[in-house]
Amino acid sequence: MNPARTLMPLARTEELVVEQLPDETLVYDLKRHKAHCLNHTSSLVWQHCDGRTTTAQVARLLEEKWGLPRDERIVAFALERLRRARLLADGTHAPGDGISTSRRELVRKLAAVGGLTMLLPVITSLKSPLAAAQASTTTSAQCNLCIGVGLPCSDRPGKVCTANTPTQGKCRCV
Amino acid sequence: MRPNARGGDARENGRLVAAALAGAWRSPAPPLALSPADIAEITPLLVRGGTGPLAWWRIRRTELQYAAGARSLRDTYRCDTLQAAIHERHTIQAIAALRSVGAEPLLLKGWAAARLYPERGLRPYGDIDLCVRPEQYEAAVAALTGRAAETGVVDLHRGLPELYRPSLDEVYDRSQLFPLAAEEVRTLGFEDHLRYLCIHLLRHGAYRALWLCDIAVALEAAPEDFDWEYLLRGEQRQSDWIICALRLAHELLGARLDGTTAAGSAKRLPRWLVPAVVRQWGTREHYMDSSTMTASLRRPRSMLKALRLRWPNPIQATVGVGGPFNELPRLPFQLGECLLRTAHFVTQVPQLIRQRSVGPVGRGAHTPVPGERSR
Repeated sequence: MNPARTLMPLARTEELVVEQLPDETLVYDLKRHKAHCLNHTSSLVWQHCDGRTTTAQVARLLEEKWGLPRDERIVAFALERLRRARLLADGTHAPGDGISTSRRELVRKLAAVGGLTMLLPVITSLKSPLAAAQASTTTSAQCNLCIGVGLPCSDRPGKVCTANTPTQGKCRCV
Repeated sequence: MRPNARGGDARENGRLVAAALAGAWRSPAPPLALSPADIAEITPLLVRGGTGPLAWWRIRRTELQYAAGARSLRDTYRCDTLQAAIHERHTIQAIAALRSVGAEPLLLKGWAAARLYPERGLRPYGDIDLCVRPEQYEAAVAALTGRAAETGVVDLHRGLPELYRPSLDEVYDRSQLFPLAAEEVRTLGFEDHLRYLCIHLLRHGAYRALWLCDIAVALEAAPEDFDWEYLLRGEQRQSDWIICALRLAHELLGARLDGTTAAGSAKRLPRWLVPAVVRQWGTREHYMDSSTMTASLRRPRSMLKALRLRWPNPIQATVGVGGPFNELPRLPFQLGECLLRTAHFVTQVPQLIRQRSVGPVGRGAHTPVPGERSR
């Protein structure tokens, strides 16, 4: 790996809601309205996406904290998952290009060292908390009051309550 | 008893829901004596009732965490944890918007109830219930108009008639300020908060188990100087309702009542009340989760179902007609409530049609209508 490219990329910080739980990190993307759950290893990798720490240092941290083999491919694997979830800052690269980060290969390696596959960096998607929090449907009358934006309109099949339509700042079932 | 959609019995499932939630808000939560099959059976009911996170909180350190359905409870907990953070931002923005026009809002339920739980995310949120003084209402609506993206969905209340207090000034005088991020949030005083939760639970027929958990949590978090006399002050009928709600929290969820006025009250729960509540909790369909009546009017095939779902449960009917919780049959109350609701619906139709023809009026207050979710 090119030494210049072994620095960790920058984590995205804008328009995210982050909740740290004892076992995992929850992230809500306010821009794309997607929620993610990072397990402890992907969470640790994300926390060190500061543009200063090296991938080797993070691999060592994973070893010290979770007993994973000191292998930069695990870091690269996590970074690739973070990039796909759009949790890295725009314009930063995820180091590891050219390094094999196949999940199958990593699983095989971790299984060989005492069943550590559960520690493989994982990012899972959750359903959108905003959608889940509100009623499952709205009506056009409620939508006209901007109540239930983003929800299907029960009295207008196939229509969704939408804000900022051409009549700026107002809501309609469209 | 009517069999439930998946073969279980509504009352039996409702009792399992109550067992799963009894003391679940405590830290540490007490052990749970349900089987993995029970958990799998009631998971959809727990999630629908807004108590999925609480159930997860209770089982997460036990073998039941591996039960079928437990993953769904965990996901609900995760989802509600994130949603709590978003909701708090919205609450702050909504309060700031109202204060910018000189209206001082009182936050009802929502964060005011959730802050008493041991962890963020254990109590889910819906819309943001804010009350302003009647004379500030129009300005408050204008302040919120077009700001849905910042404030979320706000249910703005013109005063608090549902609290059955003669003076809103006294309610404000007893209100409390709590810090939330950089803002201070004004909530009802502890006694009014508990009173509001009790009346709200009964007005909506105790449909969501979460509302009874809110009462249990508030009851157990009551400060030493809690004013029981003030909580129950006012019409005897409402005082009896409140005692009923508190006793329900004790009987179904094991909320601690020792040494309280409610414990000393000679009033017994009517025999029909607990079965009516557990049947609500064990039922998989409810009008609050279905389309509105207006929407059903456009689809005649769904009318019968909509009407069946809207047959008032005995609790809702009793409160709806301002009746007493006693041993008398509930049918007259249910018929009376049905008539009242039908009359109300008919009077609302012209307004609903006008809203549709006038078009958007911007974001603001609304009167909750059947079919709308409330948390």
